[in-house]
Amino acid sequence: VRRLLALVLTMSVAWLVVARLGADHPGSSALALGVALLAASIVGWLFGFLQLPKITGYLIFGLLCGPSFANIITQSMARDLQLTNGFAIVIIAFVAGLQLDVIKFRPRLISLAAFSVITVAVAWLGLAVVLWGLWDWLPLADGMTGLETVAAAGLTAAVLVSVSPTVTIAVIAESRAQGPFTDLATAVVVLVELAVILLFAVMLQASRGMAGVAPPDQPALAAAALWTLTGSVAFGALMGALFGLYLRLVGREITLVLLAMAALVAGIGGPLELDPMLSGLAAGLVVRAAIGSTGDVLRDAVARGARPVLVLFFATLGASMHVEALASVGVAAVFLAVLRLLLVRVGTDVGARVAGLTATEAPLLWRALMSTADVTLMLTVIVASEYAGWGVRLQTVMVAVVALHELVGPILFRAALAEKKEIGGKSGGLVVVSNREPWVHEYAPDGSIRARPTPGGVSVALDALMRDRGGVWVAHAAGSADRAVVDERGSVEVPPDAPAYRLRRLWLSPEQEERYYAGFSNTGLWPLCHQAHVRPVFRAEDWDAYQQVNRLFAETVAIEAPPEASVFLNDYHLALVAKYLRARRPLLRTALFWHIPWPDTDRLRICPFRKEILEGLLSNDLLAFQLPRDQRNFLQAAVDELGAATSGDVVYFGDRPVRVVAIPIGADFDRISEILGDEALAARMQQMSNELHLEGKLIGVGVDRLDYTKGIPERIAAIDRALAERPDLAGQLAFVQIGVPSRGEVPGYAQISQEIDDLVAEVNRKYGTSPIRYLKQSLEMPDLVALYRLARFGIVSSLHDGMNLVAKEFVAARDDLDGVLILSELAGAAQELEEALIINPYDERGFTAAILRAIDMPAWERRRRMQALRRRVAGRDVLAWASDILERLERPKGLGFLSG
Amino acid sequence: MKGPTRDLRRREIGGPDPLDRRLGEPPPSPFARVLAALRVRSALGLAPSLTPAIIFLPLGALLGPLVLGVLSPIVLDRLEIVVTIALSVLGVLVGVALGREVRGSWPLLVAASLESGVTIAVVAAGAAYFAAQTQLPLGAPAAVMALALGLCASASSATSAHPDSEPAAELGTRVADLDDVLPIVAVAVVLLLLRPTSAFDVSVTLVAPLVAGAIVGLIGWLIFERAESAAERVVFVLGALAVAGGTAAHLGVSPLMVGLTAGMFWTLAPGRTDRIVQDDLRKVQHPLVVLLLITAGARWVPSLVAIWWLAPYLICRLAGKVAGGWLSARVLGRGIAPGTVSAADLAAFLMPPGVLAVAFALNFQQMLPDDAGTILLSTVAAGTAIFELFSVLVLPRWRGRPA
Repeated sequence: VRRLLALVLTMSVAWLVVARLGADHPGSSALALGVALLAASIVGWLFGFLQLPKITGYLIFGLLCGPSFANIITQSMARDLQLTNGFAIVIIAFVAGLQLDVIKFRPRLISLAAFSVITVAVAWLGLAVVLWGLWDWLPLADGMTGLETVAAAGLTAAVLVSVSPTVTIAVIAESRAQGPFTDLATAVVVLVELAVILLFAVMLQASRGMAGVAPPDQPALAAAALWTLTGSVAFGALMGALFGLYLRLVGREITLVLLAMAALVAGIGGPLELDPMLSGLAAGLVVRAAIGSTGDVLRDAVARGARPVLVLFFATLGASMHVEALASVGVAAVFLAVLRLLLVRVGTDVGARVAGLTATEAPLLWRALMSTADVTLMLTVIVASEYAGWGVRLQTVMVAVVALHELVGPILFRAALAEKKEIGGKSGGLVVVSNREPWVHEYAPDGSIRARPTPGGVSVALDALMRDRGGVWVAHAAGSADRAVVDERGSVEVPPDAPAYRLRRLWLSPEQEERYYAGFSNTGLWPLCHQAHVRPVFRAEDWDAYQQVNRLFAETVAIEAPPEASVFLNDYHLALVAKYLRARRPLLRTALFWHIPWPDTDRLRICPFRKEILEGLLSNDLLAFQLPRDQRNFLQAAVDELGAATSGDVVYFGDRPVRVVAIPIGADFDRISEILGDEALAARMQQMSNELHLEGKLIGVGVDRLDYTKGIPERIAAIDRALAERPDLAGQLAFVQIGVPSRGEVPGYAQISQEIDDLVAEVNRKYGTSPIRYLKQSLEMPDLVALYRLARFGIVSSLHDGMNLVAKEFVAARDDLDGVLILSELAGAAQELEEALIINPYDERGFTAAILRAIDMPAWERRRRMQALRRRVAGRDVLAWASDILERLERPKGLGFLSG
Repeated sequence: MKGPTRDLRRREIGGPDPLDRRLGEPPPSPFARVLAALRVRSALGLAPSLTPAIIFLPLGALLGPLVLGVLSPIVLDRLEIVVTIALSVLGVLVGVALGREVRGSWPLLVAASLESGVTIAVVAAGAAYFAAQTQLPLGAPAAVMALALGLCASASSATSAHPDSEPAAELGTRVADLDDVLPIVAVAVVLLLLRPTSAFDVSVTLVAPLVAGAIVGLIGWLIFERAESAAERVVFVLGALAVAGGTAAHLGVSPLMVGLTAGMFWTLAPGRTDRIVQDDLRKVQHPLVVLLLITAGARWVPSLVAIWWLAPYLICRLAGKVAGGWLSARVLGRGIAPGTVSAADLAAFLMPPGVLAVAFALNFQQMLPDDAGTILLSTVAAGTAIFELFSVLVLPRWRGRPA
């Protein structure tokens, strides 16, 4: 509804402005551009919704708003926009060139060339014969006889047989197609275009001779064709080489230089009769060869950035379609369009048989050759300028034929891609792998089985994604009744109320669980990655179990994952899964999110298994960390430890590029907002206030797992110092510390728990008024939100933390724009939440001062800071985080003009 | 670590080029080493680096019709569309800054407007006096040209110090962000002076930018947050900005004002549209603003009148900024930030005119008669480059190093 409303508003503005003030006005091209981008995009989206090509939507939009119908994009506006056509074709072809792997096609080049030539020859011959036979019935020319008719029929057939690689490549891009058929179609459509240009040059000269316009000039014929083909390729290659050189030597202002290059290729190539499609393609191929591995990144970035160019190109094409011609020559146009379709199909069949294309490849290739556009219109212009009589009438007919092909061609080709199952998106399904399961089944005291969702933002976000996408979630079973509800494959459909995906459980022996989870993961990796002065312990037995369990996860995924699924691996427990999985299912795309910090190289060297862990992580396609700092550390480690090459955010390990990115996780903002909107919140706050005796107090809050990285003793000591400094606060201040028991089986955790108990007891004894309310339990999110809302300030004093979601949840809960967040600069969240009071938990004086400042902070400052903090937290929630990772994982290489 | 260079570029032109950022540092080469050595900051140890105006205005002049001719008059005509969109982008950026500050820190807006008002008054008065004395052939009424020059002179970009380097710099940056609001609004007055004023003209000139901006804001608010992908969102953002610029050009009003209204709408409307726009603008802002500067440089014509007109611009702007800075510092000292910034420091922060001065001049060029527009643009472009250089070379010494 929002999109439709925006569409109506945009069109209304444009109509009001253009109708009131006229089109020939300064700024009309900017307005046309804006309308084309906004409205065509929305219409394209509607078409996508109907499983039709988006570019057909752009074309239809252009057609309906163009001079032929509504005239909102007037003739002069369309003319202004058309100036960008050559430029757009160069950009589209350039991206296709970056994508085309000629080395892959080299062994088959001759057979593909033969296929293309034969297809063109058969289709042309058939068209020429039919046209010659029916010439007198066509609305083209009267009174032509003998050779004149043969020449005209031959030339018309050459125009008719032409194709539009631009449209075909655009359909591939917008449908996110990839696969052998897609590659084949791309190569064939380009080769066919080359063959058509040659054929047209030959036929033009021949027709001149036969029609008696001029004697056949063989050298000129050869030169003209050669110039268009080799000149376009050479010019494009030269520009590509210069651009590649610029990338290597300077590498600055690349967007502008790329735009300038495209403008130059289009601007200089036009007057010289060079083909912008061929030039752009050659430039792309040369750049790909020149910059090697960086080409992937460039291709990806250019493809994403080129989307406005595509939308504009097709909207403009639609606006310049003259369908009114159909009224006068409609029957002939429909006849020619159908005839072309039939004969191209026959041509591809014959071509495939002769060239030896396999039965799986050939049958649908004709659909890639259906679209006609720029090239066809260009050829008709040449014919019209050559033959003022029938040539001009041919132009009218061809405009109508092109309009028909434009509308039908993309739809047919997209259907072919779908039939070949090469269209990207959701078809592959999603597999999530995590240590914790999203739904736990447990026995209730009465013996019944109850399912409850696992708390936590990450679990909720991934669960939401799975509900939307469907697929399989593989996780370690931890519930008492988990085994009772699964089928023979160990699976259960969840969520229980509206099953949307399958939860595949796997069981570990107590020893495996002990060594893999408590041992290697939390006694080794956790302290290694957190600089909190706890010595990591790496036992060989734990390492063996870690490998064993990771292999078990990988084998399960290998069995469960649908073809070409995307696999999301969650966290440091699963560092080796991708490596084992790749050996079994190399076509699966995997991403791993590492929630905790990544250590610098010196600290990493503590781990005797670092190389294996790095290799395991580099077996993913995408590796995501919380912060750019972690990303940098990892890239450095890949270079130092494995000698891998890096370029930007890509590590080249073996022959594969692995993208390493930083995508900070966010809070579950929507859920917290829901809780805030719940009428029960006030009652819950009151209840909490009563239970903890907080009435009339100045309240501080801290919520943490009982973990040595969280800086809880430092926090309690700071509260103690604040009270000592300001005795007046002793009866007034109540600090609520929630300590969630965690990993009790891991040494170090019991110790920190005891230390906190002692400290709290000591402070409460010292002041007599029990200023610290310590609850050693977990709270449900609604209770946490109530607690956050009661507090004047919240403290996150981690000694080292990947992100710390408590900080973001505190902010998300404060829609009253009150409350102060005191945040450790050693928590990842501090990189985003700059408006918090940033402290160093080791700086005793600074920490105490921050607490006192939070207590004394005026309301207007609290409001200003919280307002800014909320903007940051709302702008990046947990669902956006999960979607971002999947979007980056699933973006096909080199494709994505329209896929994002 | 956040470096000053990176931050200045972010503020002025939206950070590094999006493709540069994706591809990372180019591999080491002799040329790259030469470029690195040429960086003024690292080579000479000056506090700030070269600002975009210093680099791209001369580059535009070099590529323009008067020197190499790569950017011919036809190409420059075609680039008009880029200028229009870039103006609305800059308007949106100011609008977003205004929307964020206006609720919490309106005294800051008052201080900033006071500063820009003083600068406009001093420069306009000085330029009018100079024009009356010299009878320069300006191609348009002297009063209009003087006011236009004053409006161009009032823009500040605070590029001489890192915003996070000290509280004074942070405050200076916020003042610089907000002191563009008054001139953008005041452009409407100049437009009234330029036209035969019928009641319809007055209403169109005053109301149309607000209505157009609000409608563009509403369109953006409806769809930006609902975009299916980042790529689609960029199309929406770019489309909305082009509609803003195109509508403004059609109606003969300022794209800056339409953009400012849309920017404010996005900030004040519920949701996170302003953050989305700000993030996505970074993807288009850089090439657009660089093209804007290059276009302005290419349109620079060193006529005798433009060179004479430079004198009141330089002198009066310096005086106006010092006086305005002093007044503004006093207001700030009494109100929201006592003792944070001295008058001299604030004037120093506000001295670089930045991209927005050039944008104002290009906006006027779209509306003034050809000769007058060229004179104004040439004067402002040259003046901007001089003030930016002055800020790079002199101000760090004037202010000394922050404690």
